[in-house]
Amino acid sequence: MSVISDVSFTRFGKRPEGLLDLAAESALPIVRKYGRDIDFIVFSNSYSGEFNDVSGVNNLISTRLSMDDVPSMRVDNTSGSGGSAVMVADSLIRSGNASNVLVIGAEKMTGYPTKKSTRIIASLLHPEERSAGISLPSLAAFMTRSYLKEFDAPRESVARVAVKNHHNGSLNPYAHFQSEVTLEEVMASRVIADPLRIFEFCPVSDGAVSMLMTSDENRDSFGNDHVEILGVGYSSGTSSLSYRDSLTTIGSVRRSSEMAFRRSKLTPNYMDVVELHDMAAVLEIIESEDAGFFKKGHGWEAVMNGETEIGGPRPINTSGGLNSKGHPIGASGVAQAGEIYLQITGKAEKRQIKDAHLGFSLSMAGFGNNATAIVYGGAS
Amino acid sequence: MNINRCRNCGTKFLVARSMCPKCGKEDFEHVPARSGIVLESVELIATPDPYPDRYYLVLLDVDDVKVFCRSQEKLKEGSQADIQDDELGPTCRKA
Repeated sequence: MSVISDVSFTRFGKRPEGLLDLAAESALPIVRKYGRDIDFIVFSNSYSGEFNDVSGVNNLISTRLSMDDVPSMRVDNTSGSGGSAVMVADSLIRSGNASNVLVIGAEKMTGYPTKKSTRIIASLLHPEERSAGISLPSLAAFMTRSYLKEFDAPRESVARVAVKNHHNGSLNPYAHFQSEVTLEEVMASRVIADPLRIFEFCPVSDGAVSMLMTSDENRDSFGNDHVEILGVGYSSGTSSLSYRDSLTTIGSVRRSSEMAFRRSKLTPNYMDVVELHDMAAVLEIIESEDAGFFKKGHGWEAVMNGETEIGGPRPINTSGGLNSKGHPIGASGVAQAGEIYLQITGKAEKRQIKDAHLGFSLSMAGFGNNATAIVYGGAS
Repeated sequence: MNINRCRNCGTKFLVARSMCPKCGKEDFEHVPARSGIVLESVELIATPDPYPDRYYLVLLDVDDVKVFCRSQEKLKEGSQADIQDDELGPTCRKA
């Protein structure tokens, strides 16, 4: 079994610093304490070439941290890079290939016009589909229309996810957006892809987060606050959107979640705190169903009833989610694990869930092209 | 725009593949997609470079294959649309 023993965030948002500055800012508090013991660096990052004109970032950051000889790799799996990085670190530790792994997730995305960054992100689509002028937000709009129609859900239910996540973000000192929005403000905000509005999408953000992962046997060398990785699940679905049967379910989310729960010998009902990949607000609802927290077609009711709020029976995205915390792509999946760590170790301050012992995160690549689900447990 | 059709089992798909996803054979014919039925359309305001600033994205059913195209006007669900390629990609309009 592997454990997370330390986590360090930068503030997410529009940051003047470069990619390596942000990565180092998040890693240094861990490296200062444990640098000599770290024997592998996993760097989660997807778009350093496109946004920052640099490649081989894993070696650049190891030298920046004066860990020149420590082996490293970059994990690139678009929006799901962070979940994959945690999965790789867990595998390195459990196989014995590494003992103490520094996982860094970082992305520097701001500074370009929106049309340019939208184009960069859309480059993960197949040319036959991309050439129609598709953006990732437009796919969320198709999904929203299909979901509202198929399950007779009120439009307001999707907007309420954004209201909830902005509230949670207002309690998170690392979040990009730290102010609340009202339902009226969400519904009056600018349309991006009809019917979805700007508050219902994640912003373009910069940011980084680092974690120290180690083995169960080594944990006592790294402080007293550990969170165990109880099960990791992963799955792919077709990357051809035109080949998918349904727009209201994501096969990779369903299968990866089932695998993570099976491996952890737990069920969704046991999870105290959940982080989902809400690039668009509708995704939180659909993933909450596909991961098994609600029956298909009923996730919207849970949102309307307040069940997914902090203080509700099934808190989702206590960090503010991608929607409010921001979505520096390579950092996001690592930041989900970081939020669960803070919750289970009782360090989530104003957004702390009472008695959080078990957690779940879902990191998703592309528009459901693949997903990594992780079940976490136990503070000791 | 072309639809790929497996010459062995008849499976149809839009995105290029080296092998048929159903039977694994590697022999395809390319059938031009000229028209389809509108399944859904969304107006996109924040568009990617180098596309225009505002258009409708339309999901069409072309002989049981889903196809995306760009339209300057809103197309009604269930209506027939014609497909034509411009310099950027597939576009469609009311038939």
